[in-house]
Amino acid sequence: MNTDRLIESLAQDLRPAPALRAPWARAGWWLLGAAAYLGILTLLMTSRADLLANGSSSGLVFSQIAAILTAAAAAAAAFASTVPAFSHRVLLLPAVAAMVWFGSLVGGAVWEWRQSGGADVAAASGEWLCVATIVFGGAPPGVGIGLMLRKGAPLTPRLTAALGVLAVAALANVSACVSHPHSSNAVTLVWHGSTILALLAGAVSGGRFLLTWEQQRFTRSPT
Amino acid sequence: MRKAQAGDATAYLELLRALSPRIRRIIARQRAFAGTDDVEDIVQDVLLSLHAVRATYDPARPFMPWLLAIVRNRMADGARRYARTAAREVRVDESDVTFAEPVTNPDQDTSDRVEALYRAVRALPAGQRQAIELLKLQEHSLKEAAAASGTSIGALKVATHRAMAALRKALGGSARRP
Repeated sequence: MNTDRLIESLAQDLRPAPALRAPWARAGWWLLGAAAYLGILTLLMTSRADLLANGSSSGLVFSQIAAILTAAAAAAAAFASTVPAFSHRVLLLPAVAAMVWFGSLVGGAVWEWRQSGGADVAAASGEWLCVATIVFGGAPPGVGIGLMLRKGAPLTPRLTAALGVLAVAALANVSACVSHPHSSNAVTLVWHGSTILALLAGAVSGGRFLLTWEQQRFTRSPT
Repeated sequence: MRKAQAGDATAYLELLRALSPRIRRIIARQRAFAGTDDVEDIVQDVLLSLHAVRATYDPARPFMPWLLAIVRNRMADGARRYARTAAREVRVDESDVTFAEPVTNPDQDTSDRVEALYRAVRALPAGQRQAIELLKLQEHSLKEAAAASGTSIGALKVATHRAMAALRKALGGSARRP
């Protein structure tokens, strides 16, 4: 098609498209919805005794705060990455928050290892409930952030998808950690960490199929 | 762009008309090896992308960095597409003996029939003519043609079917089915 005709047809069928909210505002709305959903899910899965036991562990509380901050920063960075000419400095925030989060788990695991000599890890059983909570519990917020991200520009689809998945997984991880007691930080690190890494790998490989310019054109172009 | 986001088609038309030569110059400068058609493909890609994500423009921020980010992204995608195509396709020179000689093309002589076809296409109603041009002559997909023409896929299919019937009739029933 001739470019002039393309321009005319684009202008002819123009519909109002109000500017999207700022990335941090969209991240805030998503975080509110996801936190409310996962909060209810956690309350349904846990008992008062488990909540009190988990709440009294300062190490656990610190790592969960770091996970929530990671989720918030990753969500904001994911939304920012769909705005043309976004500043790459926003990527530093989730990187730092994730390092603090994983650092707290690694530090706790090392401290426990020194205390018990690895007896906790040897006696630990599989934490499949955590995997299910992160994967299936995180699915609805994941769909939510996916739909919101598809409204933006797919400039860096793999990175955007990975940040979105990190946000979801970090938040679902809090639900998995709080809903039932864990035998050690090492177990949490291995089971939660490997689940999140697997999800991130899936996002990196599948991101370019989920966030595409073609999808943008056919959903946003007026017909 | 702010007016375009509010739905002002006239302002949008002016904006796109003013932008397209600038976009073309940027692409031609950075893709000096690309042919005119390739450059034009990327220009159109940029315009369609800009249109699709116009809601991501923040009126409080400068417009050009936003536009250039889209241009760079589409140029990179275009380069990747070009590399993939170049890696998979083998360019074959047209062979006069095999393909172009009249003896190998007994069915399709003749500029007369081509001219008759063009006349018949021009005589079609506007909607049918557009459907034939987009789908048969320019070989767009149904989705692309629907996006470009602003009609639904179903309407395009109906228009194409009617146009083909009309062309068969106009050409004396000798035109082959697609």
